[in-house]
Amino acid sequence: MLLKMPRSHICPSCLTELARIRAVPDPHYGLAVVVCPKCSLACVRTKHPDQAFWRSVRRGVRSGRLMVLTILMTALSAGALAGMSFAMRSVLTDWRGNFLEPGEVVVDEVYFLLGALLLVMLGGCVVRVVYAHLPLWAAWLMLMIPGTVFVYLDLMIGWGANQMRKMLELNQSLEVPSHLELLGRSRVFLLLAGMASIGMLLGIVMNRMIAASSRKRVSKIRRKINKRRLRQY
Amino acid sequence: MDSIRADRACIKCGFNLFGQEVFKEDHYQLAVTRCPECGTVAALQSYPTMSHWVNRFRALIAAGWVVVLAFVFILQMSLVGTFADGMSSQAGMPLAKMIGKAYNEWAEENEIATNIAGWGMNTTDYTEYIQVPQDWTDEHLDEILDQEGGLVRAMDKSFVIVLIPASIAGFVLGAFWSIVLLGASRKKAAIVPISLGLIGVILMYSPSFYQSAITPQASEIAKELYATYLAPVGVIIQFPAILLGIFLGRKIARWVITLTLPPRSRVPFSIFWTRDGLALPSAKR
Repeated sequence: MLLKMPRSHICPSCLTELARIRAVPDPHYGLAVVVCPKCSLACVRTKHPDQAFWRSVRRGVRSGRLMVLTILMTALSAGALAGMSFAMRSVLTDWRGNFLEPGEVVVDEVYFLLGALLLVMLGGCVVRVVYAHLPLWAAWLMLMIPGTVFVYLDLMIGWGANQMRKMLELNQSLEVPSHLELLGRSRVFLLLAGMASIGMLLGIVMNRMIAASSRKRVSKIRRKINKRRLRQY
Repeated sequence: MDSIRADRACIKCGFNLFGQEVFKEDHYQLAVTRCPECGTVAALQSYPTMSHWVNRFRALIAAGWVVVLAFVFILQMSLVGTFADGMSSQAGMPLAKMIGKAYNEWAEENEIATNIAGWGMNTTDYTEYIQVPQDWTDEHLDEILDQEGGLVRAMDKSFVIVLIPASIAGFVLGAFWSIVLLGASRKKAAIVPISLGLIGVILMYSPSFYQSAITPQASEIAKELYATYLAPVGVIIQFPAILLGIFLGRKIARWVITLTLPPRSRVPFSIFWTRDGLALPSAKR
């Protein structure tokens, strides 16, 4: 195994090499402070600009990746919500847009229905986890707004195009979904939105678990550092 | 006194100073060491000079960034041309059909074969694709325009629809320039897309811009007629969308960053706030 040698760090008072002493963040400013074991002078370990440059690049890439991942997860969850609303409409509602009686639902499609509900719940859970830094209502809106846009996209485009057609007296027109179709779709969407909200509540529990495991890891590292410091002095 | 017991390169020759004795020099009492290879004195309380590769990488990244911006600049110019072309084609479609129809009738009367005669279909449906000789156009165009009631009456008004994607593209590109030109204020950043639009307008008035083939199709003749008036207007109408994009671009970027990233991960993007003299949003909900 190749051991990486640390960068040299000389005590400005007694010229002792401090490279092998671990820097501990000071409680006031968070600076990486090293206390010289010979003269007990506290000095700050600063990063070399070479290192700082690449570190800032790495941080930028990491943040960019996180942002893309968050947007992707939101789009996927909202897409799943909208897609399942389309797919479930014919399974759960009749041509008038009313929900079917439990006995009327085709048995073969029950598993499909359960899968869809689980998928939508999972989407809600994922959105809550990726937007852990936002309040619950904001994370909920982050799922519901794109979900609603996806579900009624054909209506919005068709309506806009037809308004334009009227304004410009054109011959072309775009088909918009019927009222009954929209009624059925809206009902299924509301049902699935409820399931996604339940998924979000599960997401809260998951966030707490993640935070607890992170706290545990941090305290473990702290204990390790403290032990090393005690061994050094 | 101690000795260097870690890696430190000599600032002159790059020799590793590991094991060299550290001492305080006489004049200022600074901690120094001496390179055994070249004898250069290294001050140990300051940073060693940065390696040349950092500056080289920085230059490389900057050059790559300039190339990307130049590419977007050219892309925006071609987009301006595409929208102008689309608008003029759409507006000139009824006139193109009329020109094609008139030429088709004339060709049948004079027993001249047209380029669409061999297509084996009802040629009256595709008259806009008929190739019309220039001398025939010069002779009959005014007559056809009189029959149709002039250029404005013969126009297909649905060309206005092209302005919707054109405005959206203008807004997106305005926002793009506002975000990438962080070194400039928003007013200065607006100069780039606006000047680009003006270059587009100037190019559209240049005689060679709409030069058709030797024997142009009826649709090309009609497009050329309308492009002179409509294309520059279409570009200028995009300006408000571009300015709106410039104005809102950084705000949208800040909003997206705040929304999608937890406070700790926002730090690399802090320039979006500091550039406009704003403080980073607090971590509290």
